[in-house]
Amino acid sequence: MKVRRFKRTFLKELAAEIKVARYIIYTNILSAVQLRFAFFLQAGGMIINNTAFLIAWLLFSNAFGSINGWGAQEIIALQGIVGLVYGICFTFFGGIDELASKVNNGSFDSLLLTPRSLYLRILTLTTKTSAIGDMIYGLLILIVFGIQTNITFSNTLILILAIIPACIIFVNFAFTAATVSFFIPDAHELSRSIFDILLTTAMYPGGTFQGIMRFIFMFIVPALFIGSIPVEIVTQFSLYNLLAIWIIALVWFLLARLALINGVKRYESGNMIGAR
Amino acid sequence: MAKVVDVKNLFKSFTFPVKSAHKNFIQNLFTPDKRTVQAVDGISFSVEEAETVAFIGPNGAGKSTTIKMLTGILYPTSGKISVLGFNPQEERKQLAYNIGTVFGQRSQLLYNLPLTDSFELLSKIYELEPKKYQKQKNNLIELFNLSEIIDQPVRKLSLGQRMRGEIAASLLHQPLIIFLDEPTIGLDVIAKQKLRENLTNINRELKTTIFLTSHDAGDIESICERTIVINHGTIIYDQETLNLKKIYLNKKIITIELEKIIDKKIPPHQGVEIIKQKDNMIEIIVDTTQTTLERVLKNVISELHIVDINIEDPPLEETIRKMYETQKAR
Amino acid sequence: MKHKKPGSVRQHIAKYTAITAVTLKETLYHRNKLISTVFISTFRLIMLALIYKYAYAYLGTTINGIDQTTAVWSIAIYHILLFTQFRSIFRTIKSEHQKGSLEVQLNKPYNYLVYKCFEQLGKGIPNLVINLVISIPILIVLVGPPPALTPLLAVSALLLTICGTLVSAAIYACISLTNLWIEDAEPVFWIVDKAVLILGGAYIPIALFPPRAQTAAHFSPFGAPMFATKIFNPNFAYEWPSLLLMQVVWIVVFILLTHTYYKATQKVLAINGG
Repeated sequence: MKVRRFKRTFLKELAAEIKVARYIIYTNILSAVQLRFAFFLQAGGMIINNTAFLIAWLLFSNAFGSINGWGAQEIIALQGIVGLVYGICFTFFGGIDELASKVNNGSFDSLLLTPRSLYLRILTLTTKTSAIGDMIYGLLILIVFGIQTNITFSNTLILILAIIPACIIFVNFAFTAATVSFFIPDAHELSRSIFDILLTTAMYPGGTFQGIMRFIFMFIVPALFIGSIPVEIVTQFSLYNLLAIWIIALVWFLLARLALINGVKRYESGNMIGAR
Repeated sequence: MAKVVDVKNLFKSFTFPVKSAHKNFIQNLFTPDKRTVQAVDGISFSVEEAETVAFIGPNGAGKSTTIKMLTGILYPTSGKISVLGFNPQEERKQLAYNIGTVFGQRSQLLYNLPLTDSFELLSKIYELEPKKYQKQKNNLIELFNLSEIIDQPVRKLSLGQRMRGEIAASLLHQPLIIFLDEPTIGLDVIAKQKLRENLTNINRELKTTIFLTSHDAGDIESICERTIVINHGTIIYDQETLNLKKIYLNKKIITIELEKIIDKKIPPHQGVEIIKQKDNMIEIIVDTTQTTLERVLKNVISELHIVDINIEDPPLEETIRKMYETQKAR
Repeated sequence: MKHKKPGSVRQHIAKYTAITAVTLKETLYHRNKLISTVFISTFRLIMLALIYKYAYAYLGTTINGIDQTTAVWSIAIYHILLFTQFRSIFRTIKSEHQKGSLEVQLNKPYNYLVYKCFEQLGKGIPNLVINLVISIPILIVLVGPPPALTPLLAVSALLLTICGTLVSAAIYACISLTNLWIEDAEPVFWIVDKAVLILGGAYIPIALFPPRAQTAAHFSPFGAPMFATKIFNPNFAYEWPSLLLMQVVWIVVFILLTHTYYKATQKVLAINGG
């Protein structure tokens, strides 16, 4: 009886996982763009959808002027970054949207049966077609911002260095929120609400968040790290903020992993839900 | 022969909150009463390499819970499990490389893409060498007759075709054991027969151990040499399937629709019990230990003018209930 | 053979109000969903209130005669009244069309669109009531009580709310039919929905818009569902009759449009099978 055993170093294992994850993401995106007309409609519609929020906050900025260094340019940058972060996360890691309901209805089983990192398998479950539109929207808006502010090459690099941890925080916060369903039955609505708090607040101009509000939305619900802090890093560079965002990204990554490990131990599959 | 599955003193209980009439809303929300259900109550068994085992029981008996613990989905409350030498809970990923699973209603195929894309994806997930994968894929396409549907999107396949695809997909990585939960549910007679033949062939040619749950007595009889029966979380039967058939699966229910309503009562025949006779419908139970189905059918056709006839096994639940009562009586 | 004749007006209305009652009961049953919907709406409102409070404190003055309290309460009205709107019928109709259950309902003895509106009412009422009960005390604590209203102004606000609901029903019923014509009509929904969002004053009261944008909001059908948000504006006492008239015009226009569109849709479905 020849049993397959993989004895690999941590790095080799990681490389193997990333290779498979890349392939799965490729397949997901391929599947999403299969129905070409529907794909263009979804992506285009999302661009229009997001523009509305941009218009709303530009009207706000027009009425109130600059608040703590936050004017029209900053709002444009914010909407672009949040759109891009959201788009990247739900294009490549759309599975975060499905975790809570899968745990709730017992179909999480199939994820436990594959010989892959559970964390990556969950993240790469699917692609949200409309998120590709969000990504395009975000990029376009940031290009507009770049042109309007004559952004330098170094500032562009700094922007990228701020967006990457923003994506990590976004994905892992959403992931952690979704793991609530392991611990509380029928909690996928609750998970959704927790995530909505992050997303809603992320789009609000950071200049209006000061004092205790700033603290709450940085260190308890990291909404400001998704958009406002990256904007501030680019417009008023602070190494402290740049380091802080990377540290917070690491913290949320670890929290998500911890939540998953404990959640799986508590997982009760589909068996007893019907009995209630 | 090596032990593929080894289970010792396995327990699994589920605890959940219940609303108490004696508590108010707030108390029920924060300090609810708890109810514990013992889904698996101290079972022990082992399975050898290349065995074909049916693991059956009525709904709520604990069979799905047991399979889920064997495959690493659930954590046991206590007890020891070893599958292919792995602890399913601690070595889930390593175990997954070596087992195949087909859980009836849960699909592992990509819904919108062709079957071949699902196979391709699985080859990447299981890290199969391209040449070996191609060879195995071609074998399975032939074995499961998939050549005409391999390029069709899964959503366009019939249930029978999809199930063939699912089982083929679960064998791509040449697992040493395959766990099947209700694989023939919803399939027509021919599709069922084909699937059973395929599974038997896999076991015979590749020495793949088969661990199957089903409510269909035909699945059990045709695929599995051994049957384990679980009820209320405990094993009540663990023997060759043939014995099960001899002792318990020895009845057939025949429903007959007559051309005309008959006034007279049908006289008793040996091994035949009339359970219902109303208007032009008769329902009888045939005890195949006392008579043969052939003899009964010959008599029925010669004595009565029939319009329609239906022959079926008694429900498995009924058989198991009887088995349980017999065990209790002993 | 005795054919069933169409019933009286009272029976017709009873038919529709029965579905409202059923969906109301169902909405109350799914408590988790109800709580999470109200929660996120209340959260959004609180956040906006805090943002405006800070912004006004930073600015130190009024804008277009609108102070902090008026601005926040205008936005609050939008978010509370959101539950009287019919945006959800779009997704309901889309889903029923995809599942195949819509075509079956077109031949029942009721108007499918009207049925969906009454169904939506059953979903919206619990949300509206709970939202009102929770949001108002919180806002009073955060920004103080709303500006005082005379009984006449209160009644006119109520009329605008009711007509706004009807406008919303007419608009969303109309665009919902697009689901039966093209494979994915979501972009149509997004455009309309977001137009209502901006021109209705969800994130910024219309009174704080630049003048041209205010005109657009006044005359556009997408501003009409939420005219009630203008209740605390200084000009409301003079404005409300024209606002009411605008709403009535849009109700008539969209009902006529929807009726024509509906008939065409039924014909197409009968020929093509949906």
